[in-house]
This record gives sequence, structure tokens and C-alpha cells, in this order.
Amino acid sequence: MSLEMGIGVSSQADVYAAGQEAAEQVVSHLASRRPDLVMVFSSIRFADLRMLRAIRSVTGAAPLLGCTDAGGIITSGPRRRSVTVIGFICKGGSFVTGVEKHLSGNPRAAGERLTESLLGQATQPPRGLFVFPDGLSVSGSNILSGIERRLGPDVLLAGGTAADDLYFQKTFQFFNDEILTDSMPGVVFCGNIKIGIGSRHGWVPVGRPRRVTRSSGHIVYQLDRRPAVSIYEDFLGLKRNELMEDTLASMTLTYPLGTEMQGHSEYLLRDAIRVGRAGSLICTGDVLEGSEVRLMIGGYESALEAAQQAACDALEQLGGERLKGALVFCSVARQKMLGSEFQGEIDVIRDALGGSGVRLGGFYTYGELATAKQGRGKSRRSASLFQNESVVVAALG
Amino acid sequence: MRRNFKSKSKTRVGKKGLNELRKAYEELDRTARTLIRTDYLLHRANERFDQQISQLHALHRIGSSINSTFDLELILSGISESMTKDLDFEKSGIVFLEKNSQRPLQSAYTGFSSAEYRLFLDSYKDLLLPALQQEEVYLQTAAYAPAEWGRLLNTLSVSSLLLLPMRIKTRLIGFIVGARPHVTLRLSDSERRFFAMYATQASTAIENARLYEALGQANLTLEEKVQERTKNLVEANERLRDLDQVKSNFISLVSHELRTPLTAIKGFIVTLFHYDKEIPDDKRRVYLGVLNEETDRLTRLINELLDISRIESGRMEFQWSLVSVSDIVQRVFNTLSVKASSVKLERDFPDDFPGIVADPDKLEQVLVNLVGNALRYSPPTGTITVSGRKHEGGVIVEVKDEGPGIAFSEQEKVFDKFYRLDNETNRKNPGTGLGLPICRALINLHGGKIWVESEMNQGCHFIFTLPLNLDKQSIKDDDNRQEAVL
Repeated sequence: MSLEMGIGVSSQADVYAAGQEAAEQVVSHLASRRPDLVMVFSSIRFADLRMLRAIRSVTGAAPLLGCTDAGGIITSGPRRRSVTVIGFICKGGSFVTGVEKHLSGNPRAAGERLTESLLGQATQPPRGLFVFPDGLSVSGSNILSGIERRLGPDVLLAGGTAADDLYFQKTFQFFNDEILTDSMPGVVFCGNIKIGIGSRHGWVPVGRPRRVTRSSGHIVYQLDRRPAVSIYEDFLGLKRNELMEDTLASMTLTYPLGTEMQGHSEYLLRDAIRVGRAGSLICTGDVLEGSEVRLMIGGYESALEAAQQAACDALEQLGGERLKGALVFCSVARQKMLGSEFQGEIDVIRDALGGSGVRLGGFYTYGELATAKQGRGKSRRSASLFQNESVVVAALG
Repeated sequence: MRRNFKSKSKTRVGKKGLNELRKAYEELDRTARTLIRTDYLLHRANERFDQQISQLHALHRIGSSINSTFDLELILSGISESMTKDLDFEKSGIVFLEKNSQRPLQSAYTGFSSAEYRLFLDSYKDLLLPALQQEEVYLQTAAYAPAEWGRLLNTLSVSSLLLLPMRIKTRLIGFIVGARPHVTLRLSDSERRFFAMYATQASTAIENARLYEALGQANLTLEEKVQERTKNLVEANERLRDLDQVKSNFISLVSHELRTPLTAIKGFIVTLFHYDKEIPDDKRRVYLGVLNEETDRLTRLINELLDISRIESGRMEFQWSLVSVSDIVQRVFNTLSVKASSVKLERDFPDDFPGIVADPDKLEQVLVNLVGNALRYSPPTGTITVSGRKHEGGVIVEVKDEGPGIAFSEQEKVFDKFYRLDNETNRKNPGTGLGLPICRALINLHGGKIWVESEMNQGCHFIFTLPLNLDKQSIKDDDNRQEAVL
């Protein structure tokens, strides 16, 4: 019984009452003990200091981190417009938490600083890093590259970028008593904890590839020497002003741009969230100039298959250690693509992990970060990815 | 497939072949576009469908929740909470307006701080009301809002604000507000339709609750009225029964009182009529004496009845003048001296006893009654004293006898109409039981009070007060209260 996990959820109208109710469920799950670490994922409606105060009135001074979401995930399935609280107790293990503010100044440096600081403070061997950065202010790829530089080969990474209920306007991050934006809270699980991470999306390419003839970081200016947005004009049959008037992401979310990755069975996906100047596309992660991109499409069966595979990958990495619970960070695009059937995906993950006795907690993100296995056989190695449209399952043992 | 492709490439694809390949590739891309477009449209349709289902679900939830109660407060808080929980507004509220003034009367809110909500309601007259009269669904968004709306949104820390007027027919009965920290640029037609339906649902529930409350209130008022009327009827019935009893007592008493002297008169007149010549003179004188007494008795009885009748109907007339009570007492003594026989009549008034404004005849009537009663109960050698003294802006007059006295429990009853003490003296001396009630009414009409103090076997003290200067207005008022004082 090294690690224990308690989950609580509430959608009460009053933010304080909601925070309190969810936190009380966590304590009740943990046999009336206060947790050592608290994760909070909530709809933007609950991004209120009263909600944090309510949770901490129940959980005490345990470090708290989390972010706003586009839906919460608990054992029984997804929950929209709610606050999800996850509490951990770990005998023989420890948690080190920290936060980096003003991400947009230099996201790479922020990722590096946070990772270095958290690993530096660890008094036990670090096992896994979980981060929840702002999903709108910066490119997820930049944050990831910063983290990767300091992470080391033995520490796994998982996380999701904060969301705002599909408004694509402003997200918030939670750290202890603070509600922040443009920030990245993180926690390292150390000591007697086993972690396995699986990440898949199941999207497939359609149509011919387009060459990225001009891009800079997460902004794609041209595809095949035409304004990048023309790919969506062509495929969705929409005029540019229609694509600019509404939030692009609300229309293109399920049709990301995909780049083939060597040694990976799946494409690297990038959501275009806004139309920039001269028809450029502003994406959630970097797109390399000179690379070839294809429009991607998700299907119900392939998405569920990917979710199942991610859960199995994560479980397999526990190496026989008994599963104590799992964190799930799922792209909001999957929720959108699966429509009214999005409950099915969580059922598939839960079933793959062992059925109704498994404790699940997590949220719907604007981008996912995860350590992924690359290559096959002896050449197989770990590398971290910033993905879109994917589901990340972090099995905890 | 790959192998075929390879073998083809090995066999030098000609220009024509390359063109065909490019054509096929473009066709594949076109097919992909059609596929994506169809998929996109299907998704959009599906999303709209899901949205409508969730809106219907929200409508159903709000409907079943607010229609399960007629408690206006519960309905208001239910709607406000539903706006937050089901419709994703960070801050929401509902305001019920006062019917005539159209000012906010009752309200519930969720998410707003009390200060924010107060500021929001402060803008009712200048901003909210004109907006509510404009559109069925009114949206203001920070980036496009006029300055005054921008300031309000800023104060409330929100970026968009939705106002939904609630109407019954054309009358505005209240409104719903929903606010989000995110920008909502515009609402689709289906969203507008939904919000309008939502507001209609809310207004119907509120109107039902209001009608129910009004009905309940009407029922309550009706019930209260029925209870009040029933109580009045019971009381009136009791009064009637009492009056009936009083009337029966009165009739029986008056008939008895009239019949007794009449029988005597009739008997003596018949005797005188038939045996006139045979009756000796001395007997005739006795008979005529009896006839005279009985006639007096009849006259007294009729006078007393007339007095009571005048007092009760407010027709009693008074002749006010400055009088000397001592002189009146002396007149009374003179009148009753024969009847007093061996009983001593004493008068005790100080020299400075003031004159008072009164009706001398009425005052004499009172004193005759009191002294007459005293004589009736006095032992043959007893003394009856009538004394007077000044007292707090008026005078006190006391008639004291040495008779058997009146028990405490009877002391107030003797002033009730037709009430007579049950004793030997009264049985021998029939009376109407109107003397003392008339005394009390007359003294009250003079602005004074009368009462009796007595202990058994210690005699009686009938005491009355009179004011020195009678206020004429108070007499008039008292005239109107004559029934009450009796």
C-alpha cells in the first residue's frame, strides 16, 4: 500500500460548496486521512479563490496544484462543468511541487527551471514529473524542450495543458492558495512509486501531404507556398473570413495537422487554434519548416483502440506492480470528435486497466505531454512528446 | 501494392504515366476533401444536435425543479443555480419586479459577490431596464460594449453579460442575468430561441407561484373573514340571548310590578264602587291612602322606566346650573323626613364645600334614590349620614347607613339593570332594580363615578364623585356613550 489515491467531484452551483464537497469525498476515499498531495482540475467557473480555500479547509496544508479544464475525468467517466479533486498519500514516497510563472517570457527556460528545481529538491529517487502549463499563452513544444533538457532518462513525464471549456480565451493554473495564468505548476513523484505512461491518439492522415514552406516555431505561414489557412479552406469548404470570425479551434479541432515521425507508429499532431496575419496558422506546438504535413482525421474505432492501447502500454510498464490508480489527460478534441459517445473512451481505459475497481482521475486538455516509447527491440528508447488529440494514461503503482 | 509501385517505377514511367499518376493523386486528395467536408458537416450537425439535447435537458431539469414548488424563493434560487450549473454562466441572477413600480422586489444570485450584485442592480433604471425593453435576449460583450456597459462589465469582472426579460403577456415581471468571464460575441438563432424559451419557462413558474400565493392569501383572508364573522355571529347571538333573557326578566318583573299596585288599586276601587255608602269614613281614608300610595308606586315605576329608556336612547336632557349639593341633600331629607321616622338623617358638608355645575333635579333624583335605599335598610334607630368633601378638582359625596351591608361579590352587581339583592327587605319591598343603574348613568353623565364600599353588618357607603367644572364637550361625548356607561 505504498500509494493511495482518492477522487472527488462536484458540480454544485456555489464554488465554495463545490470545492468542499469534492475535497470531502477525497478524504473519505482515503479512509478519513488528509492527503499528502492534492491535484485540482476544474471548469473555469470554479477558478475562484473560494474554491481553493474550501478544498484546503478540508485537505489542510498539503501542496496543491492543478488547472482549469474542458471537463474533468473521474472513475465513473467524464464530468463537464465540475471540479475534480484528486488526493494522494504515499508511504515510502514523496512529492515535490513547484510553479513557474510568466511562461510566455521564455517557455523553454521556464520548463528547464521548473524541472531542475523540482528534481533538485527531491530527497528520494524521482520517478515521474507531472506538469499542467497554460495551454494558450505559449507553444507546448517549447515548454517540452526545456523540460527534456533537465529531465534525465529515468524520469517519466506526463501532463496536460490547461483548458477553458473550449472558449480558447484564457486558462488558469492552481498552485497552493494561488490562481495563476501564463504559469506552469508541476510535481515530481519520488521514492517508492512505480509509474507507467502510455500515450496514443489513433488519428489517421487523409489527402496528399503539404510541404511547410514557411514556419517559425508554432506559427505556420505557408503550406505549398500558399497561406497555411488555405488547407482548411480547401478541406472544410469554408471561406477565410468564416474561419477568422469564429474561433478556428472550434472548427478545426478534430482535424489537426500531422507530421510523420521516424520510429513512431503515429503522427505528431498539431492543432491550429487561431488564424494569424496573412492567413498563417497559430498552432499549439511547433511545426518544422521543410517538413511535410497532412490533414488528420479521427475515427470512433481508431480513437477507442488508441485509448485502450495507451492504457495497456501504461499498465505494462508497471512490470507486475499492483495498480493503485491512474491519471488520465485526454485531449478535448477526442471529446469533441466522439460527441455524445465520449463516455465510452473512459470506459475503455478503465476496462483495460482492470475494471470498475480502478481509480481514475484527470481532465480534458488543450495539449498533452508524455514520455513515449520510440523504436523497437534493442533500439527502443524513451522520448517525450507534446501531442494534440492524444490520450495520456499514467498508471501509478 | 508497394511492390507494384516499385516495379512500375523501375520500368521508367513515361510522361503520360506520370501525368496519370499525378491526376490520380489529385483525385485522391479531392476525395479526401469530400470526405473531410462531409465528416465536418456531420460533426457540426451532431454538435448542434447534442447542444439542443443538452438545452432541452436543461429546460426539462429547470422545468421539473421549479414546477415542483410554489415557493417563489425556491424558484428564484433554482433558476439562478441552473444558469450556473446547466448553462455555464460563472455568475447569474434572477430578479422579480414589483408589479406597479417595476422596481426589483425579490432576487436570487449565484457567483456574484454581494457588492457586485448590488452594483449590478444599481444600474437597473439607467441600463438594464431600457435593454430589457429592447430585446428578447440581450447580449453585451466587453470588446463591443458602449462605455457605460463596459464600465458595468468591468465592475462585475465579466466579459459578456446576457439579459433575459421575463414577461407574462406583454408585462415585464422580471429578468434573468447570466455573465461569463469569456467573450461571447454573438448568439446563434437556436441559442436565442433556447434562451427565450428558458425565460418563458421561468416566468410561467414565477407567475404560477405568484398566483398560488395570491390564491392562498385569498383563501386565508376568506377563512379569517369566515372565522371573524362566525365569532361576531356567536357573540351577537350571545348578546341576543342575554338581551332576550333581560327582556323576559324585565317583562316578568314589570308585569309583576305593574300588576301588584294595579290589583290593589282595582280591589280598593271595586270595594269603594260597590260599598261606597257602607264604608265608614275612617276606612275610606285608609283605602284612599292605599290607592294614593299604589298610584305613586306606579308613577315611580313608569318614571324609572322612562328614565332608563331616555338614557339608553340618548334623549335624556340636562339643565345645567351651579348648584349647592348640601342644599339638595337638605331638600332630599325634607322630602324623606316622614319616611325616615325614627332614623336620624345627618348632613356633613364643610363650609368651603364648593358649588358645582350639575342638573339639580338629576342630582336630587340620585340622592333620593341613595337615601331612600339607605332608609329601607337602616335599623329603626340608625343614622344615615350624607357627607361631602373636596377631592382632586372635584367633590366626593358619600351616603352612609348602618344597615346590613352588601357582600363584596354583590357590590358591582347592584348597579346592573334589574338586579336586586336577594334578602328579606327586598322581598317585602318590591322594586324595579332600576334605581342604582339610573344613579350610575346620571353620575356618569355628570362626568363622575359612583361605587359602593361595604362590609357585611357594617353598613354601606355609596360614594360618588363629581367634577367642579363640567366640560360640555365631554358631556356631549358622554351622551354618545350612554349605552356604554349603563
